[in-house]
This record gives sequence, C-alpha cells and structure tokens, in this order.
Amino acid sequence: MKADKFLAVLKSNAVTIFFIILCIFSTAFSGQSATFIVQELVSRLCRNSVLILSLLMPVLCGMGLNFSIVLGAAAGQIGLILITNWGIGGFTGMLICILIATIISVLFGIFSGFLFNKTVGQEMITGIIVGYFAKGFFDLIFLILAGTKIFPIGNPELLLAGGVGLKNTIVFGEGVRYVFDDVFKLSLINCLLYGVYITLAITIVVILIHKIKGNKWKDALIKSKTMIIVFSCFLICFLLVFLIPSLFTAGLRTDVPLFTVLLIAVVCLLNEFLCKTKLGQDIRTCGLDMQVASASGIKVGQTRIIATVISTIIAAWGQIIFLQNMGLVNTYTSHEQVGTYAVAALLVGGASIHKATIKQVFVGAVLFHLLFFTMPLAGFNLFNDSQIGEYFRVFVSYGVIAISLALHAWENLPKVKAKKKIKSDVVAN
Amino acid sequence: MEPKYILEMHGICKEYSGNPVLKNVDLRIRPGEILALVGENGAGKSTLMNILFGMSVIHSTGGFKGEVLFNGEPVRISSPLDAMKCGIGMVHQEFMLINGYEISENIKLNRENLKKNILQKILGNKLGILDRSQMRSESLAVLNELGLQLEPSTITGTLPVGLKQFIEIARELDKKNIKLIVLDEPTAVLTENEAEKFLNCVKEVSRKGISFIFITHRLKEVKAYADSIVILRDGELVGDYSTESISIERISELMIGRTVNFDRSVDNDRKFSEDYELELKNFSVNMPGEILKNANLKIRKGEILGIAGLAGHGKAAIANGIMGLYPSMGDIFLKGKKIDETDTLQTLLDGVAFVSEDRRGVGLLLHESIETNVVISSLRVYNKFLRRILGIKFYDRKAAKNFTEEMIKRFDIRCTGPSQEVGRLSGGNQQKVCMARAIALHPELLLVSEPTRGIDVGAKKRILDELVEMNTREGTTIIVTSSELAELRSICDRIAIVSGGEVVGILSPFDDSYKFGLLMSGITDLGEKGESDEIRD
Repeated sequence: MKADKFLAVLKSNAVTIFFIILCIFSTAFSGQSATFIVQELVSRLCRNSVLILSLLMPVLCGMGLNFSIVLGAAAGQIGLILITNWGIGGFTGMLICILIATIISVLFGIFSGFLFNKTVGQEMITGIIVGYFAKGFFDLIFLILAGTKIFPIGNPELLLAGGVGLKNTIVFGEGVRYVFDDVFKLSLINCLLYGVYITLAITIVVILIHKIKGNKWKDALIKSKTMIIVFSCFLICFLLVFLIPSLFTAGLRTDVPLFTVLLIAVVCLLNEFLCKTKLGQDIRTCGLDMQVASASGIKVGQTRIIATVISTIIAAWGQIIFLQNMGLVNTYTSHEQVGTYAVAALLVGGASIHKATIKQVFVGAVLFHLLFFTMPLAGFNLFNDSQIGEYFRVFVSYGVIAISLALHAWENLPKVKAKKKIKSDVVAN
Repeated sequence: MEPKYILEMHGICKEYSGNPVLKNVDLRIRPGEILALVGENGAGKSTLMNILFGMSVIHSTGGFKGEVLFNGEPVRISSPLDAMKCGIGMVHQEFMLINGYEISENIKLNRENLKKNILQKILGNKLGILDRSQMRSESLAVLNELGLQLEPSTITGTLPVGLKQFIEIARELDKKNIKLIVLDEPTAVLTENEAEKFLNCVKEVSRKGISFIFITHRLKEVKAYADSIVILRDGELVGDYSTESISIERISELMIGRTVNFDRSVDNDRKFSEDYELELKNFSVNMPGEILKNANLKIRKGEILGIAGLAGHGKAAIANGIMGLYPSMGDIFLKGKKIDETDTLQTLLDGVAFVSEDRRGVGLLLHESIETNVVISSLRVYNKFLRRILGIKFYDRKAAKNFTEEMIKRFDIRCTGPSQEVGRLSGGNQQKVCMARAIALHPELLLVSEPTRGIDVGAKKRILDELVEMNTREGTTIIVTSSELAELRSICDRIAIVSGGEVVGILSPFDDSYKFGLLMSGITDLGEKGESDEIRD
C-alpha cells in the first residue's frame, strides 16, 4: 500500500518531477558558477512572476490558460512607450504609465472576454489567435501610424530614420529603467535571514492566537500548518545558503530588489483576496459548472469577462515590471512571446488547465527559467555548437507546453478507466 | 386578503416554428398544494415550465400567448431571475449541484452571506468576503428543518444520490421568499425508499404553505402524495382532477390517449414457430443516460417486436448494446449461437443490421453523397459494389449508382440525384437513406431505433410500410425501438416495455392503453393476469 501511495504521489506530480530532473541535468552541464545561476534566477523570478500570476483567474473560471495576456502585455508596453515619449519618469511617470496601461487593458480584456464567450470551450486557441491579431494591430499603430499626423510622436529619438514608425529597440530613460528594482536592494543572504526572523515571529503569533482562542496546543499547531511550512522553507533555504560555500558566495553577491518583491506580494495578496470574495466564488462556480452557475442566476458571461479583464490588467502590470527590469523594449517583439512563456512556466509548476495555484506559479517560474537560460549553455557545452544551444531554447519554450499537456493527459487516463469499471459494477449489481 | 391561488396560468399557447406544442392550457395552484403534472415525453410539460421560468428558449422562439398570474397579480416573467424574484424555485432533474463544493456553498449558491470590507463599499457587493461560518450555520438550520442530520461542511460529491436531492430542496427553502417549487422528476434517480423519504419531506414542507408542481412518470407517487393532478397530452390539457377522484388506470389512459386509433398494416394474429432469432440473457448495457439492467428477451424468427418506454429508461440501450456501441454484460444468442457483441463487424456479418436513433451522429456521413451512404455498409461488410480488375478491388461505381437510384425510387427520397450530399436532405429523407443502407445489407435481423423521430407524416408512413414490407416479403426479423407507442402498435406483433432500466413486461398491441401507461411508469401489477404476454424464461 505504501508503495502504491508513493507511486500515486509521483504520478500526480509527474510534470514537475520530470522538469526538476531536467533542471538538475542542464544546470550541471551548463558549467556556470553558482553565483551566476543564482543571480540570473533571482532577477528572472522578479521579472516574470507577475506575468505568470496573471494566468490564475481564467484557470479558476474554467477558461483554461489565457494566451491572450499578450494583449495585457501590449497595454503595458503602450503605457511605457507613451511616458518615454512624454519624457516623464520616476514614480509619477510610472503611476501615469500604470494608469494608462490599466485603462487600455480593461478595454482589451473586455474585448477578448467577449470573444471567449462566443467560443466557449475553445478559449485557449482563441487566446492564441487574439494574440496574433493584437500583434498586427500593435504594429499598425506603432509602425505605420506612429510619427504621422494621426499619431504624432514628440520625441524624434524614438522614431526610425524615415520619421514614421518606432525604432525596433527603445531604451528607457533614467527615470524608468530599474525604477522599481533600485528602490531598495538587499543581498540574498540577508533577505533569507530576515525572512527567517519575520516568518518565525508571525508563526509564533499565529500559534498563540489559536491557543488563546481556546484550542489545545496540538490543534493550534495543526491550524497554523501553512505558516509553519513557510517558516521551514525559509529556514532550510537559509541553512543551505549559509552552509554550502559556493552558495554562500552567491548569496552575498546576489541583490534582491525588495520593492519589486513587494509588488509581487501585493499581486499575490490581491489574487487571494479576490478568491475569497463573492466575485471569486462566482468565478469558481462558473469554472466548475457553467450550467449550474447560470441556473442559480450567476451571470456567467459577465463573470467570465471580469476574470479575463483581471487577468489582462495583471498582465499589463507584469509587463511593466518586466520591461523596467530589462531597461529597454524590443518594440515589436517584447510582448509577442509573453503568453507562451508564462503558460509554459505555469504548466511546469504542475498546474493544469483546470487547476493552478500561487505555489505552482513560483515553482514553475523557478524551474522554467532555470531551464530557459541553462539549456542553451548546456547544449553549447555538450555539442560545442551555439546553434544547438539556441535550438534547445526553442525546444524548451514550446516543448514544455506539449510535454506537460501530454503528461497531464496521461495522469488523467487511469481515472477514466477506474470510473468506467465502477459504472459497470453498478450495472452488474 | 390572501389570493385563492398562488399561481394561475390561463390559456397558454406556444408554438415552435408553426408547430403548436401547447394549446390553451390552464393551470391553478393553491398555497400549500402539491400539484402533479403528468404526461408522456413531448406532451408539453417542459415547455410549460420553461414558460413559467421565462427561459430564453421561449422568448427567442417568439414568446407565448396567455396570461400568468402570481399571487393574484399578472406578472411578466422574462428571465429565470424574474421567476426567482417572484418566489418560484426549481429542483432540476439533473442535479444542479457542484460536487466540489461543500453543502453550505451549494445551498447558498449565488446567495452567499458576505462580510463587509472597504473595497466592497467602493466597488460593490461582489467584493465582499464570504462569511463561511454564517453560511454554515444558516445551512444547518435549513437542513434541520428538513430533518436531515448533515454537517454543512461536508463535500457534496461524497454524498449518496438520495441525499443530494434534499440539498436541492434545502437550497430552495433557504430562499426566504419562496412560495412555489417546481420538482422536475425529482424521484427519477432515487430508489423507492429514498423517494418515499423525499416525498414525505415535500409533504411536510407543503404544510407550511409552500406549493409544489410535481412532474413525474411514477403514477403511484402521484396518487400517494399529490393533492391534484393535471394531465397533458400532445400539448393539450386532457384532465384536471383532485387525486381522490381519479384512479391510476384512468390517469394512465388519459396520458396515452383514450381511443386506440391506428391502422394495422400487419395481420393481427400471426403465428410463429418457437425458433428464436435472438435471445438476450441477463443483458446489461452501460449507455450513459439509458442504462439497461439484466434484460431477458427472446425474439422469434420473423416477428416484429416493439420496444417502448420513456426517454432515459433504457430502451435505446438494447439495440446499441447488441451492436457493441456501449460496454455491456450478459449473453447474446443469435439463432442459438452465442456472439461476441464487442466485435461489431462479426455481428454485421452474422446478418444483423442497425439503424441508429442518432441519425446525424452515428447514422450518416453527412458530407458524403447519398450513394456513398447507401452502399458504405455493404461495401465494408460484404465487399459488395466492388469489381476485381487484375486482382485489385475497385469501387463499382455503376452498380452502386444503379442500386442507389433504385432505392431513391423505392423510398421516394426527395433529392437531386444519388450524388447529393446527405447533410442537405430533410430529416425524413435522411432517415430513408439510413433505411436504404440497412436494406442493402439484406439483414436477417434488423434493429431500428426511433425510425420516425422528428420527421413528417408522409415519410413516417413510407418508412413504416417499408419495415412491414421487409418483414413480410423477406422474412426479416425486426426490432423497433420507438417513443411513438401508436406506431409500434400499428406494426408490431409484441411490444416489450422498458422502465427503470428493466424489461418490465411484454404486451400485445391490442392490450388496453392504460396497461402501457402503467408499465411505462414502472407499475408491473396490472391487476388482471394472463392477458399480457409476460416475459418468457
């Protein structure tokens, strides 16, 4: 029985385990120092988390993985390009940028939400196509119209030599580049240390609250399980970094942009808050059974549009965080792959098109991005050919989606069989 | 003053694209009354309830004529939400429950208790946080009111089917303004014991002044629990009685139709030898929505056997199971030889042909020509319509075309020619194509499911005549599954009745109408023995 249970756990986490193994191999063969890998990982994690978080709501609403976050990303980009054009920077500039991006992404979200309502059951493929369409539309405005009388651009440095159309690469000004990242930085090892202190304090408070409420010690401990787990994670990470010399150096040299981390935390909390509200309950009901939802008077179409809008807005914020960290934007391509990469990362974290959690977002972000930048290096080291390394990068981003979807399908297979058996037993009796 | 009736519907007429489905129907319910609404499938019960609930299907097809008064006042119900606001609730035939939710979440679905917070004040109620403890305690109160000992935090999916129905009632009762609850075949999925418990509970609730419209096929329950009975037949109101004043037999007779009005096109009393063409022993089929349990049937050579029953009771499963389209158990003997029903090709080779009730899905290749559709089975099974040239098989276009033209003439298929796409034909003509294909196989046993569903009168007659023709001229044994009892009675030698997944009896087409009604509603005790041809075994 124990072996069965173990196998069941293995099977239900097959996707994640497969990618953990892949990550271990590609990290080992990449031939990079721990410092490089940790630095790269931390910065990629901060850059990409919000974009992946934006996928959660549509999954909860039963619409699968929202590839149309490309629209949100485009909205974020539009905001950044506009403030660069106007020459506003700093926090005022970013606030204006976020405001513009939010308004545009609400419109985009309503648009794709309407489309999704017309194509119930095919939201994912619709999302992909909407993404392509958005790209065309974006190009029309910024390549053909920008700089003409219809859409004047005041800052000639942004334009191509001919005076029409934006440059392929736009480098942001001082007030935009790293604006969130540079607010407050702390080395990784200190972060972990403070993390241990803070979570320990919170854990003790939570346990005491439960105790005061009249639970026994044992119950109080059980009820504060989540906090204890979070605390243990921090403790283990800290100990690992502290005790392993190469990681210790990496921990000292890696800076964590704490303000960005705070922004990510706010988005997580917002997501959690929404899940607990009436709106969240409606979204969940629609996701579990649209028919039951509409029979109980929930406006299914409206709820699905709201879920899409939330997703698109968060994606816009995510793209702003992403680009301020990059410091520049590839005008016509930066938003193109956002959907694919975010979806791939979420799937690697163990999410499926029916269920996705915040935990899976972060596990997926770590694994996918680790793989994403070590794979080409490992490929280069193994075959001594940078073309093959590039091939691996492409394989990782698209292959991940195919492999994890296939593995999820495989996970679900035996369940169907078991159900059939039960049914035939019922008939037999 | 309280009005006399909680709900009055006057002169309700409704037609779907010129086809009347409700003709001048009246309905009245007093507060606290349990009114049973009975009728065959397609009698108009669901349409009537859809009107009451303002379902979009009614309004998108041109609305209805007539007047609805609720609590003595005329109301315009144009959406299910309006119905809910009036205080009309519904317990659906399929559970409208979310299995992953706990009981309290299901009871409070879309009426969740909310805790206030700042965002909610700014952005509206949707952002209030669910007050789970309040939801649970209120749910517990309702469950107790129903006499149920259930923990509201239990996950609904883990409950037995019998209890789920109670959760639905609890949900309706939890609505404070509820005055009328429609129960759509609430006992269809329950065992007798569970149904009794459930209906006692309904009775108890009705004493508190809440009215019920009770839709069911189980006439015994109607007799035992309803206060009054409304009977619909073909969209017409054929009876409005108080329960005491009418017998089960009479209800059944009214449901099916008073007079036996059909033209027999087969000799009345044909004799058959005791050679069995087909025997089913403990045959169970797991067809979703049409589950068949332990059926025993013997079909004599050369007879036409009808299979009748209500939708969802398993009659469709017999033919589908024999053809191996759904997982099944038990034994099938074809001319005394056991066959493996999972090997559909072998079954076809043994001389069995099947015309599916799912014409457009299983029955036809909609984008192919009439010719292809007619010959495909024989081509596949018997290698007919093939020509050998140098040892290689080629499609014999000429033979196929000739045969198809012959069939078009014989069935009077209205088309532009053998090459017309089948998907463009009308339903009746499509059905004729299905029949033609079966004939091309020259089967010894033909299984026909719902041959006349959704087709016009002329085509109906043609198809039934053709069935009789095949039977008398070629001696084909035929099993016809149909919801149209009158048609079965016009061509069959015997009619097997399926109810609740079991073959409950075999009747002669000349038996009284009420017997058919009783058997279909699962009452096997017909009072007089001997007249009906019981299951032989």
